[in-house]
Amino acid sequence: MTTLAQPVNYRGKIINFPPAKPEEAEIPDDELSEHLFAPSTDRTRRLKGRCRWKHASAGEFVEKGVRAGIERMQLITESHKSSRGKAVVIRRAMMLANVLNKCTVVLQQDEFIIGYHAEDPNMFPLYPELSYMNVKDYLQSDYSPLPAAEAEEINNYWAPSSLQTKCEKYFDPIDLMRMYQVSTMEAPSFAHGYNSIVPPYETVLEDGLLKRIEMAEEHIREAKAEMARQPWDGTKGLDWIAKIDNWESMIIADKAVISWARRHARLCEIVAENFETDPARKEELLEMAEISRRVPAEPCKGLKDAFQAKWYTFILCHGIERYASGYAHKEDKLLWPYYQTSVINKSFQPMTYEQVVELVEMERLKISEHGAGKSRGYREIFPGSNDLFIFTIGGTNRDGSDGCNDMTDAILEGARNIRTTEPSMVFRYSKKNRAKTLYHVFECIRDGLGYPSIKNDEIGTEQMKYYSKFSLNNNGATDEEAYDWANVLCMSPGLVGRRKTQKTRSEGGGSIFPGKIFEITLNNGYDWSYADMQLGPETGHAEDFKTFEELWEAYKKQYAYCISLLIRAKDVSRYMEARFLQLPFVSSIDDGCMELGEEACSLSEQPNGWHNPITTIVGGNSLVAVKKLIYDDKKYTMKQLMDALKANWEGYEQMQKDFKNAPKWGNDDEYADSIIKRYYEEIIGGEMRKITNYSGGPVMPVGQAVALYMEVGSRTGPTPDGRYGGEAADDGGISPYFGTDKKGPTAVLKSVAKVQENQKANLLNQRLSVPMMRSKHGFDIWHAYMDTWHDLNIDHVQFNVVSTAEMKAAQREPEKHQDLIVRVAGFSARFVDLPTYGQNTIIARNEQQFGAEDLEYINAQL
Amino acid sequence: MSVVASQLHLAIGTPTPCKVCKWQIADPTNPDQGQCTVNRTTMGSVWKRWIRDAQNMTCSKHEEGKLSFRDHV
Repeated sequence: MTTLAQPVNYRGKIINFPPAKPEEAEIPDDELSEHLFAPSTDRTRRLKGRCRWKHASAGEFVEKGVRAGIERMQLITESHKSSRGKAVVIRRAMMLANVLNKCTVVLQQDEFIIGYHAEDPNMFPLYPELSYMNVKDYLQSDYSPLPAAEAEEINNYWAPSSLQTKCEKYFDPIDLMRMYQVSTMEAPSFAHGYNSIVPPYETVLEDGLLKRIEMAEEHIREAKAEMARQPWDGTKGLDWIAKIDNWESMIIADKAVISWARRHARLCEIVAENFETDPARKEELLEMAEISRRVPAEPCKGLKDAFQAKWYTFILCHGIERYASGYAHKEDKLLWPYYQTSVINKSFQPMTYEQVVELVEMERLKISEHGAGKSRGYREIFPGSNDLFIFTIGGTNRDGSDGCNDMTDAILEGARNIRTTEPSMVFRYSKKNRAKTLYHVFECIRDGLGYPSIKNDEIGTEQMKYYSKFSLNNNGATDEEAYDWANVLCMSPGLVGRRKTQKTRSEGGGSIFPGKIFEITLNNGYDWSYADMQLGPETGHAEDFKTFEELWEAYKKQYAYCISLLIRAKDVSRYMEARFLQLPFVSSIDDGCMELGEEACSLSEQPNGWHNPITTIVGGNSLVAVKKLIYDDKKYTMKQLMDALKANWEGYEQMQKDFKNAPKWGNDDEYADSIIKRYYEEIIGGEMRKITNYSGGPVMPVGQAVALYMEVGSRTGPTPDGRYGGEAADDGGISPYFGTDKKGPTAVLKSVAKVQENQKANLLNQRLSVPMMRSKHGFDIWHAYMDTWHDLNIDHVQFNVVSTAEMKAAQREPEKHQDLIVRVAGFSARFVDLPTYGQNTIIARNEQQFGAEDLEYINAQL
Repeated sequence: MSVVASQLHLAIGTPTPCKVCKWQIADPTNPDQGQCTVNRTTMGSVWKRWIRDAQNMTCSKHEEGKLSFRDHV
C-alpha cells in the first residue's frame, strides 16, 4: 500500500493527501517506478529494450561490451599524414572529410533517426589530437581500441602535436601537478579533452548546407577581388589569406557532410531493396533515404527533416569533428515551425501529435546510445550517466510572450513515457508559462525523473544582456536575442541561434573546489590529507590567525590563486584551439564565422565565462563553525581544532558533535547566512569577477556539483563543519549540506535568496515528499512553491521525488529496479548504476515535507 | 626518513605495485599516477590518497585484484 502524507491543519482546515490517481493507493512505495514506464509505441519499447547504454561510474562502464573504436583515430591520422604542407585549417577540414567519406555507416533495427559516430553502436571514438594522457588511459583499460598496438602507435604519433603538449609548456610543472590532481581545481581542458559546444542548429535547418557552401564561395570571390584591388595595401590585403582558408575549409567540410548523409540514404535504400521483408519498414526505409538525400543539404521542410538534420548536426559537432559534451539547444523553439507545418498545417510530412511524441522518444534513445571517449576523470564525476546531454525548453519568446507550445508538451510527454536518464532538460520558468505545459513539467518531476531542472527565465535573459556589454567586437546579444538562451550544460546559460553561441568549453566550465581550498588554507597551503605536497601559496597556519578576518584573507588568497590558474589554462587552450584545433564544420554553420571568415574557436562575439565553484558549502559551513566556536564563543582554540582534524576527530568526539551542530546553511539562520552570503559575494563571486577571460568578459560563478561533490570529498580531509575525512561534500552550488536543512523547504529558499550580488547562477537540489507530490494537492503545492521561488529571485532549483523505501529496495535487488531514476546533481542517473556510497548520499538528503507554515509562506491554495 | 610498511612508499621495481592493487584506482588525469582507496569509513565513504608513481609505490596492504565500480565513489 502507498504511504500517504500526514494531514496538515492549514488555514483552519484539515488537509488530507489522497493520491491524485486513486489506483496508486494499492502500489507499494518500494515499487512505484516499475509502474511508470509507458512507451507510446511497441517500437520505442523495443528500442529501449535493446538500447546500448554507455553509463559510467567510478571510471568504469557499467554495461558489458562497451569499448573505444579505432576508426576515427585511423582516418584522421591517415589524412594528417597525407596533407602535410597545407594550411592547418584546411588539414582539419580534410581530416573531417576523410572520416566522413570512409567511416562505417550504421543503420539499426527499428530506428527512424539514423546516424552514429563510431564504427559500432557499442563503441565511441577517441581523440588523440586532444590529450595523449586520456588516450593512454584508455589503452591501459578494459576499453582499449583494438588493435591496441596500432592505437598506441597512433597516440604516439599525435602526442607531440596534441593540444595537451602544445599547452603544457606554458605552465610551471608544479602548477600542472596541482591541477592534474583535481582536488583544489579541475585539470585543464588540454589534459582531459573534455569540451562542450552550442551548435547553431538554426542555420542547418533553415538554410541547408548547399546554401552555406554558396555563401562561402561568394565570400572567397569577394575576398579575391578585394586582394586584387589597386593600389595594393599589405596592412589590410594580407588579412584575406586566413579568411580565404577558413571559407575554403568550410566548403570542404560541408561537401563532406552532404556526401556522408547521402551515404546513409544509400544504405537505407540498399537495406530496403535487398534485405527488408516487412513492407511497412521497407517503405519507412525509403522515406528515411529520401530525407537523408535532402537534409542537411537543403533546408528542412517538415518535422521529420528537422529531427534528422538536427541529429546529423549533433553527432558532427559533439562526436566526429571534435568531442563535445552537451545537447544545448532550445528544442521547442527550434522545432516549432516544423511542428506547425507537419502537425497543424499538415502541408509536409503530415503527422499527429502522438507521432511527434514517438519521435521524441526515439530521439531520446539515440542520445541514450551516444557515447563519448571521455577521460577517466569525467567518467568518474557523472556516475550513472554517459555524458551531460541537456537541452532547454519553455521560457519566453523575443517579444516577451510565453515560449511554451505544443512541441514543448510533446517533448515533456515523450520524456515521461520513455524514462531515460538522457537527455536531461531544463525548463525556463516564467510566470507567463501556460498551465497546461507547467502540468507536464510537474508530471516529469513528480514521476521522479529529476528533470526538468528549473531555471529562472528572467534572470537568464538579463545575464545574456549583461555579458553582451563586454563583447569584443561590439556584437553581443541584442536585447531581443537575449531571450534566446539555453543551458550550455547543467547550469550555465548561453545564447542559442544562428550566431554568437559558445563553441568551446575553454570559454567556460572550469571547476574550482572551495571545500578543499579551505582545508589547505588552514595548513599554509599544504595538502596533508591527499597529495602530501604544497598545493597553494603559503598564507600562514591556522593557529597563527589571531582574528577571523586573517583566516578570511588567507582563504581569499588561496582561492584567487586557483581561479587565476584555472582560467589561464582555459585561455591558453583557447589560443591553441584557434590555431591548431579548428572546427571547419562548426564555423560553416555560424553566421558570424561565415560573415567574417573567422574560425569558430577563435571568434568570440558574446562572452560567456561561467565557471563552477563546487563544494562551496563545505567551505561556507566551515567558516561559520570556526567563527562561532573559536573566534566568537571561544569554546575551543584553533590548536585544538587542528589537532582534532589531523586525528579525523578520533578522540575528539564531543568536539566533532559541536562543530557538526554549529549553525548551518539552509535554515534561514541569520548567523550562518550572513557569513555565507558574504562568502558567496566577496570570495566565490567577488574574486572570480576580477578576472577577464579570452572573450573580454568577467568570469562569473555558476555553482554546481555534478558528482565532484563525492570525488572531491574523497580527496578532502576532515573539515571544521564536522565532516570526516573523505566524506562527500555538498551536492549543489548553493544546496544545503545533505541532511542539515532541518527547517523545511521554505527556510531553504529564504537562505538561498539572501545571496544576490556577484552570484546568481547556483544549483539548488531539493528532495520533495513523494506522497505529497503524488497527492491531489501535489501540483498546487509545487506551483505555489515555484512562484515563491521565482519571486525570491532565485536562479535554479531541481528535485528528487523518490522514496527512501524504493531506493533501499533497489540496493537490495538492483535487477528489479532498472527504471528507478534519481537526480544526482546537474544530471539524472539510474539509481542502480551508482556506486553504493553515491546512492547513500542521495538517500541521506533531507526529504522536505510542507508543513502549515511552509504552505502559508508559499500561499498554497488548497 | 624511515619507511613505514603500512603506508604508501616508493619501492622502485616492486613486485607489488599499486598499479595492480585492488585498492588502487587510476588518477583522474595522469595514467602513470593513481589513487589509493583503502581508507574507508563504516558509512562507505572513501578517503583517498594520491599515488605519485603507480608502478613503483606499494604498501603492506597490497592485494591484487580490481573492485567493482559499486565499491568506489
